Amino acid sequence: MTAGLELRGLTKRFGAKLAVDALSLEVPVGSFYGIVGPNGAGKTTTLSMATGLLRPDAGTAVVDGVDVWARPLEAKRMIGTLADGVDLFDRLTGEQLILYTGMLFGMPRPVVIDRAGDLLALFDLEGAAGTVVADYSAGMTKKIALACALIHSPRVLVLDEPFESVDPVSAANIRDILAGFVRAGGTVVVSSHSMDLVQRMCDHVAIVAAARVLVAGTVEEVRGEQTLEDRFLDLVGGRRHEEGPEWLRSF
Amino acid sequence: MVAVLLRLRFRVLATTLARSPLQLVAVILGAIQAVPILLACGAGVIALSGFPPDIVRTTMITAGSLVVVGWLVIPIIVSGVELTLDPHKLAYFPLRPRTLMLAQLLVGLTWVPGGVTLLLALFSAFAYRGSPDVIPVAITAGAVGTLLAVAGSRMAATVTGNLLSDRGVHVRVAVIAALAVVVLGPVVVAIAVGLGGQGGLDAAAQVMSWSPVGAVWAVPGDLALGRPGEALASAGIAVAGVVAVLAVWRIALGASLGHRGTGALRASQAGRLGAFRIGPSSPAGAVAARSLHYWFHDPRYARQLVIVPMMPALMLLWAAVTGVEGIGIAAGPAVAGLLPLAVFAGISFDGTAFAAHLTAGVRGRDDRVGRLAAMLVIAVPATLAVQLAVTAVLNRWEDLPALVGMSIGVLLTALGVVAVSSALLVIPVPRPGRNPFSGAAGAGMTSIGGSYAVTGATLVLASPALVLGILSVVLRSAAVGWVALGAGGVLGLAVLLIGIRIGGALLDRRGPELLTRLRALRG
Repeated sequence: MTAGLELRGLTKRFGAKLAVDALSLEVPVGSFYGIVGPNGAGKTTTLSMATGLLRPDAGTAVVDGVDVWARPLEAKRMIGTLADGVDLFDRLTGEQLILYTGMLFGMPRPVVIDRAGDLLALFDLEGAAGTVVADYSAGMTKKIALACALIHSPRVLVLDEPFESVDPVSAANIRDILAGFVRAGGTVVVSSHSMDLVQRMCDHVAIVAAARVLVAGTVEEVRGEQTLEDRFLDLVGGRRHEEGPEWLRSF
Repeated sequence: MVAVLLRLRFRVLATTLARSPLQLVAVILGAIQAVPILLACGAGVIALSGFPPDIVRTTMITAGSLVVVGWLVIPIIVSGVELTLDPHKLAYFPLRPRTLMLAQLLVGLTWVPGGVTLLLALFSAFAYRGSPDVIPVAITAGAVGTLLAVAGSRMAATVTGNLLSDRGVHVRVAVIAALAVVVLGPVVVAIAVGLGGQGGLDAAAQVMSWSPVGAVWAVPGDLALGRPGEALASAGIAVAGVVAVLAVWRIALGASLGHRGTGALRASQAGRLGAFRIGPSSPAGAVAARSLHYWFHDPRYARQLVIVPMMPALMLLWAAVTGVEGIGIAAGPAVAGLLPLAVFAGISFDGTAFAAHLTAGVRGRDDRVGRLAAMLVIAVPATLAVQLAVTAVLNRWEDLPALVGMSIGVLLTALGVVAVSSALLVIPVPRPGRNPFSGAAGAGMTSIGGSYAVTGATLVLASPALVLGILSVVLRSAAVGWVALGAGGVLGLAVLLIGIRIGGALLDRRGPELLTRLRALRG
């Protein structure tokens, strides 16, 4: 059986810094896979290489049997990407942005218009459909980007920080949508800082630190008897037990 | 505090340049440009010093006023103006407006354009060599004039920035259009005066000398002509002008330091698809619709459209001043070239939003075709309208085939060149949603270097149509004019198609690397 997403020896160096060091990861088809790690661990770099946004120095990324860097057009049709740290074409209205994304994938306009309506309703953005994305809040921007990632009905979703600055109600709705997607046989990869969320939501998890995978497997395997957060802190280290310098507490 | 801010600004500049050798080269090229300007203007001042005082006075008022108006207008129409000490970025720190103003003034004066202006303004006192008593006054006037120019430029940038920052997208475009009209008004009036017959320049200078932009330059001339009363009055107007500029600037700066953030959100329903409803339903069609939408909804693009009315107005003015009609009728090819060249690094305007094209696996060819189609929809009617208008004004209908040939040739060639250059070049531009008048450090210089290369390539590749067109106009040969039209169309189309091919292949091969560079600029 082929993996939904298979990363083999992905490596990326920025100048003197090795951002991702021969990272390998296998995401089974139909899994809800969480990737957690401290800031600067290489999560965004890894996901960028997996989705064709950043050319790896070495290694391969394979989506459902298709090599992302050897057959990019074919692979990209199967991936829905939410990239972190990129802007949107934010002079467009939310509806226009979804429409634009769909048409970039070569979908016919009537189909895209239909689906755009569904997605706007799904993400509770109907009231802001005609507002330019530049005027959206951070959470609404994240939701419209997520809607754009879904428009071409991908098989594999690669979502970098999908819950950042999203309000709790929307976050719960998005979780339901993603869970439904997985139940239907889709594969979801999310990166997140929220251990709690990953422990409750995902069935698989990888802990990434210092450009490598420290541990990967089902959530139960990885956390054992501990919570995922405790396991993470044990592995990654760097926890301090102090209250900060004295001047910070004397007003 | 001022010293800290100045150090910060040069620190940012040094870091930006260290990260990009290409940008360093561009900055050096830009700085080198200052040398011929200095030499030419210096020689002009020396030559002028041999003329009688009334000619010196008229020339100084005209030149000085143009410089001040230029400084006022440039932040409104040109992208990438230095604003490292952007008040919005510094709003977190407890800074007085006065400190920031002084720092921004010094930044202006220590960078190439400000330095060149100051040097020339001071040296222009040499023109009054005939009346040595006036020279100290002329030097003072030069210093005050430079202060007026640089402070006026900052005032214009801050005021327009404030006007734009809190408004919806449509309002911003409207403000730009309004400013364009305000800027164009005097130019049109000047044309009317210039076309009104002889002595136009003298009359214009006389008017300028009583306006805040020209008064300061009139002071030494009035003294040299033995008119102390008028000199005093002009000096009064000049000082009042400087004080007013500083006051307005200070108020505007205080307002922009006082708040950050964007306007409130209005709910609005789906269904307004605009350009996306028309046009082919394909990736290229989508790119075309999006580009077209941006040309009219993104101030950074919309501002380029100001070229369309401004170029013919300016060129007709020059034609009237110099008496060379050829300058006027060249407005068509000028607009045809400048509109595409305005976006010679078009992907930089996308910023990291370009990632959407990568994740959707858009073919490079579709990307190129879409952007060019949008440009054609705008540039073809604009070019033809401008060409017809200037031809009608100057009544040179017999030259129309040659002129249209040159325009079409330049337009198609420029589009082909830009199809390649915008797949190669990434320049720092203001981010969408930010003040469109702010720019990254050294951005002006990089843009200038890149646009030189692109302009040069366009001129070389369009030279057959240009040479034939000029021959036809000079020889008054209609036959050569029709050949120019044919050459412009055929060769231009060839360059366009080759440009799409090369640019598309570049995007296919280097798309991810482009995104990496765009991300680096996003910081």
